[in-house]
This record gives sequence, C-alpha cells and structure tokens, in this order.
Amino acid sequence: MKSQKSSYWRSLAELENSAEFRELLEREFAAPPENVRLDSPERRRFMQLMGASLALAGVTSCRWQKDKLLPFSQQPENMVPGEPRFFATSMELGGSANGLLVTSYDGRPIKVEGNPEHPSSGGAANLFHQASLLSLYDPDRSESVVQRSGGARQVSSWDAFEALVKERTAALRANGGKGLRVLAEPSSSPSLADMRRRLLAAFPSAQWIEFSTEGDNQQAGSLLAFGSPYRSHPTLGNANVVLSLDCDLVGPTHPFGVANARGLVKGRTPDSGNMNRLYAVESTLTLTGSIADHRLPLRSELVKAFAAALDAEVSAKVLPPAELGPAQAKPQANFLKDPKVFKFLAVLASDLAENRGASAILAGAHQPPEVHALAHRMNAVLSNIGRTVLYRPELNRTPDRELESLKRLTEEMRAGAVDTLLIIGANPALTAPADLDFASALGKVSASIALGEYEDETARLCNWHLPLAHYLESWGDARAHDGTLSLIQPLILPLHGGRSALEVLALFAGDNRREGLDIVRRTHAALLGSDRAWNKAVHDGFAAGTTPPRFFPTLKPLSALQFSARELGDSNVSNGALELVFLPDSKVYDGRFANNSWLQELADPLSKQSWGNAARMSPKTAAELRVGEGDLVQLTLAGRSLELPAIFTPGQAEGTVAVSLGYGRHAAGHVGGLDEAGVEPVGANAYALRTIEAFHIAPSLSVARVGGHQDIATTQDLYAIDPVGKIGSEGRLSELVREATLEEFKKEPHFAREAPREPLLSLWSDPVSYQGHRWGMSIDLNRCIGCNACVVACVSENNIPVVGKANVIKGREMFWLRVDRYFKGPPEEPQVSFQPIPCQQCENAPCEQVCPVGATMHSHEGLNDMVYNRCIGTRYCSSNCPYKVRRFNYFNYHLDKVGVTPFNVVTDRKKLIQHMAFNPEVTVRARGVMEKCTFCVQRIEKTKIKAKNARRSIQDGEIKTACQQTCPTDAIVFGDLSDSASQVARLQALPRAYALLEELNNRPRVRYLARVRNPHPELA
Amino acid sequence: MLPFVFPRWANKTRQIAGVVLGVAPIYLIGLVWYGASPKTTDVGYMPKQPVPYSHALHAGELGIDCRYCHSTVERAGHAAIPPAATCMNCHRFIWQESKKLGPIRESAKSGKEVEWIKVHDLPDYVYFNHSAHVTRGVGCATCHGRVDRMVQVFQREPLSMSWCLDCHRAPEKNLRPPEEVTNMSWKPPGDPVAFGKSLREKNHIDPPTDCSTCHR
Repeated sequence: MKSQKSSYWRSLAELENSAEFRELLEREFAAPPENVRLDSPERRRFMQLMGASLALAGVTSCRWQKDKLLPFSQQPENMVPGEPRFFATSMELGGSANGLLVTSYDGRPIKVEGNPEHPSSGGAANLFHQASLLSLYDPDRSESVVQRSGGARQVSSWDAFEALVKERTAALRANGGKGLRVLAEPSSSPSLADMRRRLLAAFPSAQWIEFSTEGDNQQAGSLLAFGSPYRSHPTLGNANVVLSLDCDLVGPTHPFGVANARGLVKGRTPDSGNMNRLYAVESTLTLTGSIADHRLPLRSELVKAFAAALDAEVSAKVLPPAELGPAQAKPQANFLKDPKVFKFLAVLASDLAENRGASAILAGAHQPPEVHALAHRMNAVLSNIGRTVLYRPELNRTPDRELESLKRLTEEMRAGAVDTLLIIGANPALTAPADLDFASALGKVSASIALGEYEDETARLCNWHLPLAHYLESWGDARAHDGTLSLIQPLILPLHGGRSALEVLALFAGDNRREGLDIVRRTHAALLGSDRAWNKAVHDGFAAGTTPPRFFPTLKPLSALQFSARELGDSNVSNGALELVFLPDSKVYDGRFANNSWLQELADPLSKQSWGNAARMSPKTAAELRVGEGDLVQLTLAGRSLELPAIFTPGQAEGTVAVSLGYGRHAAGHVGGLDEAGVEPVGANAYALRTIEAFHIAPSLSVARVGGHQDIATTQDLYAIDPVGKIGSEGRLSELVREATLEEFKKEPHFAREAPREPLLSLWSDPVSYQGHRWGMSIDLNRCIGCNACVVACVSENNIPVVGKANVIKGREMFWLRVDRYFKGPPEEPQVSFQPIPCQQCENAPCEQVCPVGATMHSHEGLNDMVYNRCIGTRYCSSNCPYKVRRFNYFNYHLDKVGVTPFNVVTDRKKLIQHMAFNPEVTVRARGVMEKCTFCVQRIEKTKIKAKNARRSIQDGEIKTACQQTCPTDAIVFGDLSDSASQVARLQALPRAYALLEELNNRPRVRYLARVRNPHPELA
Repeated sequence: MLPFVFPRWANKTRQIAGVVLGVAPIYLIGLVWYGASPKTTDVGYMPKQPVPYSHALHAGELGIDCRYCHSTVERAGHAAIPPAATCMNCHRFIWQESKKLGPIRESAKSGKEVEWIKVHDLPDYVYFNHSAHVTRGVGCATCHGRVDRMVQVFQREPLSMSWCLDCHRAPEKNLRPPEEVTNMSWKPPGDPVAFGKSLREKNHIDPPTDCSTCHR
C-alpha cells in the first residue's frame, strides 16, 4: 500500500503500518456497533421510555405536547423575543483579558466569540474562552454557601457568612488584621487591585499573597534584566525573525496567545512575498514548534546555556554599546558542540543580527528568570525594544516571588499565625507544590474561606465555601495584553447565587459599595466618570485610549550566569536522571476546566489524546526505557511518584518527559472526577510530583514500568483518509497536505496544483444548476496554527454531543470539525502540518448518491443538506465519504437534557440548566442519526433573511461560520464563490489553492492553500 | 439425520397469511387516510386560552392592525405575543373591572407572564421565520385564515410540509403587495395568479425549496 511510502504520517502506527492502523483505515467506526445487551441499562431505559411514550400517545392522541407562549409582562426595551443580542465582555486568563462578544438568546448566553474591536482579541477567541460557556451551565458548579465543621458539611447562607465576617472583622480590626491573609491568583484587574489596597488599608497587618500555577518567572526575569517588573508583549507583526526559547507563544495557554498568533501570521503571507522566519528551541513539541520554520528539540534545562551562547554570539556580531553590559561568556557545553546545534546557533545568531530591530526573542513561562533576562537582553542588544517588543508598567502585581510568599504563608498557617484565610478563585490544595502540604496546613486555620466556582479540593478542606459567580454573571475589569482596560459585564444574573471576588472582598474591607457594578464604576470614576463614557466603554467592552504608555527600560548589566553540570548537558540523562517538565494543559489549563466536557473530549492538538494526560516521551527515550505506548509507568521524583500511561510524542527532546497539569482531580465534578459520585478522575494528577524546587523543570526523574496498559483515547488514526483512493494517481501530486519552501514557491507558485489531465466525467448529472450563491471555503494551511479554537467554536454553535472516553476509544467521537495533524520526516525531528477538515460540501457529493431515503440532499447553493428527520441511520453516506467527515449518533447523547419524546419532558432543574447552553437555531439530534458540518447553515439562512428583508444583497464577509469567526489567524474564510470579488473566491484562485482528492471528481467546495515554509538557506 | 418437520401450528400459516394480506390494504388505507386527515394536522385545533381574547372584536370590529400587538413580525422570526403592558395600554381605561381580564391585570401587576396556549405549533425541527414572509408580501390571512372573524383562534391551514412547499414552488397565488399583508380583506385586483406573477417579478420573489431552508 502506498501509505508505507508516503512521506507524511499521522502516528507512529501509521508510519509502521501496523495492524491496528490498517483496521482503523478499513473500518471507519473502529469497533463494530455492539448489540446493546438486553439487560443493559441503556436498553432497559429505552424500553421504559418506549413504553411510557406509547402509553401517553394513547392518552393525548396525535397532538404533541401543548406548548405555552409566555410573553413578558413588560417587554424590556430593544428586546425582540427570539432574536439574539450581542454584549461585549472580557475573560481573564493568565493575567490577560481577551475581549469577547457574547450572543444572548432570550436572556441566556449561548455563544462566546471574540470582540473584533478589542486589541487582544481582534475578533478571535481561543478554546478556553469558547468553552467557558459550558462552564457557566455546568450543573456541578456550586450552588450555595457551605459551612464545614469537623468534617460535617452543612448548607449555609450568605447571611450567615456575612454575620461571620462581621464578627471576624471586628476582632481583626482590633489587631490591624494580623491574622488575615488573602490568597489569590495574580490578576490584571484594576478593581481587584483597588480592593486589595482598601483591604490592606483597613487591615494594615494583613497580607495578600499571589499564587499561580504558571509561576512568575517572567516577572522575575524582567526584575533581573531591568531592576523593575515590566509587562512586556511582542508585536510580532513587525518582526522578520522570531525566536521562541521554550515558549509556546501562539498556544492557548499563553496569556497573549491570540494576539501573538495574529501578529505572527501577519508576517507570513507568501503571496505578497512577505515571510518572517520562526525558530523554536523547545523540549516538548508545541504549537509554536509545529509552525516554526526551524525547530531544535532541546531539553528544557539546556535552554539556559543555549540562550547564553546565543547572547555571546549575537553580541559578538552586533557589538552593542557598553552601557548594555558585557555579554555572557559562551558556556563550555558539549551539547553546543553537536554540529547540528552548533550550526543552528550560528545561523540563528546571524539571522537575528541581520534583522536588528525586526526580530523578537521570547522565553517560556517555565524557563528560569535568567532565560527571561537573557531574552530581554538580546532584545535590547538587537534594538528590538520599542519595535517588536513593547514594555509597559506592571500595574497590579505584588513584588514578592509567588513561591516564596506561598511558602511563608504555609509556615505561618502551620504556626497558627493565620486565623482568617480567604482564598479567591485559586485551588491551592490541588495546585500548591506538594512539599508544602498546603492541605494539612489549612486545618490549622480557624476560619478558612474558599471562594470558588466549584466545591473543589480546597473548598472541601475549608470551613467555609462561597460560590463564585462566573465571569458571565458578574461585573469586573481586567487588562488586555497591551494593558488596555477591558470591562467584564454580566449577561445573566448569577444562576446559583454566586458573588464575585470584588463583592466578597468588599464585605471584608467593610466597603460602603457592595455591588460589583458600583465597585467597578468607582475604580474608574476618574476615567469613565460620566455615564456617557461609561456606557460607551461597557458597550465596546473596553475603554479606548487606556493603553498605558510604553516604556523604554534601560538594561541592567547582567552578571555572568552560573551553570550546573546538568544545565550544560554534561551529566548523563539515563533513567533516574531524566528531565521532567510540567506544562499547563492544552485543554484543562491548570485543572480549572477539568469539568468541562467539551475540552476533555477535545483531542490535544499534537498528541491527539482526549480524556486524560500521559507521560509524553520521544519514541527513542521510550525504547531505552523499554516502555510501549499506553504502558502504565511510574514517574518517581524525589520520593514522590505518579502512575500514568506513556504516550510517544515525536519531536520530544530526548531524555525529557513532559506531563500536563490539571488532571487526576478527585473533586472536579461529574466530568473531571468526583469521588463521592464514583466518577474516576480523568488522567493523573501531576501536581503530586511538583515541588518548590522542581516547580517547572525537574532534573532527576526515574521512570519504571509497572505493568498494565491503559487505552489512551487518541483520535489520531480515526477518520484516516483512505489512501486506497489514491491508488492510480501515484504519478501525480496528490498528497493531502502540500507544502513547499519559500524558494520553491517563488520558482513555481503553482506547486500545489495538479498536472492538467482529461476532464473527469461523472455518471451523475448535476443535481442543481448553481445560479445564486455558491458557498465555499478556503483554509490557509500557512496560517493554521492547530490551536483547536475552531473545533470548540463548532461544538458550541452546533450543539454537538460529547460521547465520553469509552466511546472515543471506539471511534465514535462526534466533533464535526477535526484538525488533522501530519508529521513528516524522522520521528526525532518531524515537521508538523495541521489541516482542519470540515465537510467539503462536494458539488458531486458521494454521500448524496447513496442515501436510500434522501436524507442528505443538495441545495441550490451547493450545500449538502442533512435532513435529520429523514435519516434512518444506514451510514452508507459515511462509508462513501472519502473525507470521513460524517458522524453518527450511536446513542441519545443529549437524552438526559432534552428527553427522547415530547412526552418525556425533563424537569430536573440541573438538566434544564444544561439545556440552556444549546443554540436554539440548531436541531438537537437524536440517536440513530447521521450528522456533519453544515457550513453553519443557520447563520447563512439568518443573514439571507436579514438581507432580503432589507432588500439588499449579502455583503462579502457578512456571513462568518463559527470556525472562521473564532480563528485567531483568519485561516478560514467563507463566502460566495459566485461573487468573483469575494475574499474566498480570490483566495481559491491563488496558485497555492488545491482541493483534497480532486481526482475523485467530487468537486469539493473547500480549498486549501498550501503551506509555505521559510527555512534559512543554510539550514534547509 | 432427522428430516425437519414443521410443527403442527405451521398448518395455520396459510390462514394467518390470508388474514394478514386481507387486513393489510385496509390498514394501509386507514393509515394514509388518518395520516392525511385534518385530525392529524390539527386543522381546527382551538385550545381554550386563559383569557378569552377575541380577535374578531379587536382585529375585526375595532380594526386594530395585527402589528399593534404582534409588533416583531416584520423584524424577527417570531410574531411575538404582546406583553400584558400592551393590553393595559387600553384596558387601563376600559373594562378595568372585567373579570375576564383578570389574568392580564394580574400579570401587569406582578410581572408574571400570562400562559397563552400555542395554536400554530410547528415541529421543533422546523425553523419558520415570520419576517421573511411578511416583508415579501405573504399576508397574515394566507396562513392564519380570517383571524379578524375568529372569536377564538383556531388553526385554519394544515401547516404540513407539503402545504409549505405548494406555496414555495408556486408563490403567485399567495402574494400581495407587502404593504397589504395585514389587510384581512384584501382581494387581488383582477386575475390573482397574473397579479401574483407580476408581484413576484417586481419583488424578486424566488422562494427556495432546499431542505436547509427550514431544517437546520
């Protein structure tokens, strides 16, 4: 079979053409649909429902359930029932706010999108923003104030809590708040900073401790380089050369990821000859490494020496002025003498030196402060400051190092010096370094109060738990990546009576303003004092012109850095001395989204693992450890150990094992793991290995096989596009992913086009003549960063069910849009390509030709309409689809939320709350029905009606599909191909455009723009 | 090896088959009959409303325009049921004491909604949009009948898919100038089909019949 020779591969199984892969290829839905056993709960439930509905059918004749119409008593102004409204708000994650535009349908938020006007967002939202909607309606969110004493849980009330605060603060006031501590995540919110100031003014001896799982190395690095903590952010649109030092700068876990991705691709438009060059030095394959033109796999601990060597080399070339201080001496490290590394470094240094003022160097959050300081220094040496890297004052953060202050707090708690501890939003019982044993210290605090969305690990150990309002339920503010003031406005009253952090702090501080809105307005009284200014800022979601001034900080000479033998790569890295890297997860972040099923089900963009984490290691390291994929391994680090399955990740630096944080939770909820409900934790808790010393990178890991195997729910080989269809076209260029280097592209712009051939004839006549709109899509593979935001946007827009781990393993995953990930080249240093695959909306659609019941029909505008009501579930369409984009509902995945018949009405309040997340414009599909991407036909129809009502034509760009709307890099463009001036028509006419499996004569409406890499001539 | 012997009851197979074959046509005819009857499509469905609101009085005798109450019909998918406040615009001054208006007054006072019963109820998988029809010149009366003569509203048309498609395929017979949509007694001047054709041309009316037009 040709796949053996194919230069692209998706998984090691495919590369080796293993039996499992061939089975997946031949059988689209991996396991045969097993017969539901007669006594299985599913079947019993089905019979009950059938019985009940038949009985009821007799009673009510053929009339379906009586619907009621409930008009307002007083209709609010500008409210049209059934018409969505849009409100601007912001979501803060990792200390940076992304502007959002949230769709509200009859008063309930149903979709989160980026705010096009907002400087960070530019219209895009990442997967966390998209999925935050589901968290709002999460039935596991805590519903009441809870008091615990001696292990007994008791539902309490806000009144009772207020009484406690009154009593406590009276005592605290007397001693200046000596025993009062507040533990919060670092935030850019000016109102929170103001509240902190007020609290500390009322209780001068109290302390405010900041702690985050991503750490504060960035801040410490700035302190080291400039003597002052600055907030720096790149403007990558101005850069010709970008270097990532172990920094996933475009990934969703980067606080500025959306803005960075937008900036980076701005300089990657080969059609206009404008191509920047991205270098990545990293231990674990990230999105940034995947789109990089050059990637050097290097253990994380070696990056410091690499950066120092680069500094030496760059400074030697650029000869910076003396006030910047001496460069680092080139470290005497053997790994730098490796010809591959040596050449990489030399080329990189000269490329950077040639692009002074137009390059940018960024260091990853888990790299030590020295690496950050070196990045700052090199940016200064290369005159990038003020051009590609901007500095602004850090307005909010406390100057203390996070881990030190957390350690101090824990010691004080143990010593009984803390009598009142307020924990805001954080979950330190889970996330604090294991050696602090924060959980046991909590027991020593007489009044421990946890304010959080869930009754999580921390809340269960505190005396009081307070429900925190979701950001879509509360007023607040935060700063965008460039410091612009962004406002958070509620779209709905708190569903469960939660309160915001500001409101709870106001209670403590004895503030005379108690409402979130009043507090936020007071903070900005000077700036947005007038109602007009305030209303405009709320309407826009941010206050224009509030970007803090740029700084041009002066570099402090950096003293010579010290390196340990490990950091020079001189000591061996055999088992027992392996490197372990802790990374925030691409789906659950630090664990806060562990109960979000959209994110849990999502496949990691690179490992393609869903529902869980694994020890990521390179195939070679695994072979040395004699570990197979899916084998359970025990990671041991300084006496602490953790069991989890191993997964092979091509491109991983040798000797490095990476685990993502945020899994293995016992008190997340019914999705992420909940002990009392018997829900096993998803994945393994890597926090158990994390200590103060080994907070990001740990040097002495040993890995042992413990026997046993765990099925990893990966989706990498599902829906493999069948290469059987490629037989006969071997002589032609017919790879699914096509790419070239910039040189090749300049020489032959049509490289992605297939050779001209005889026109293909079809047995079928065109089902329709296309006279009106012809909807089409173009997907620019040069822009796609594989971030998965489009997938979650699609899930949210189209009511796509989540099937759970067992069904993902069986190949029953339902997401309409998938992002295929291809590797090329050796598994040690593969090139990575992403390819989002929605329904290709073929004009000559194979699916339509085989449906026996006309359930998939061709529309006059060229869409393959799916008619759920006609579908009887033969799945012929899916077997005939060469792109494998159709999904089958094996079960009534939404049964518990919608009921199976109108007679089986859901009355459970929690289920009804979940119901609120549905998009009312899209049918909720039932069991036995095929479904697939519709090009967001509900959006097309809505816009068509709007335009027709106004007797105008549809403007280009007026209809945006959900995936297109949220894409931070505008890789997806949708529009009307009949309009030759439309953006999509122009893109599809580019020489880089090609269709998938064109030789099958399906005439797909989706075209891909081939990727162009820009390798340095000397490294190519 | 023993030969297979049919069990004794198998002798009855022919009789049973005879009965089944005899009954099958009756069953099929009955099924189609019932399936296509107004009883199935609910033509004539006239639920009792919480307030005996008479369209015949308000829309007919008093001549209040449909859009006074169903104010969103030209802008939105739904022709919204008016809030109690709309009723109170007049009923604050007339019939303030009427018992029948009790639920309205109650709603206006308490803010709790009046629970009207939906008469024209399409299946949940159908996405009908009022504005798309009303702004194009499909009159209210075309689908809802002479509401101005209904004391109690009932379903006049079958609202079945074939009924929708009949019009989408040949809209001429149901078109009128868009400004006349709420006029209950509007009559086309001259030949209705010829007039409809001219309107169709003038207003570029080309209703789609794609599945996704109504099903998403």
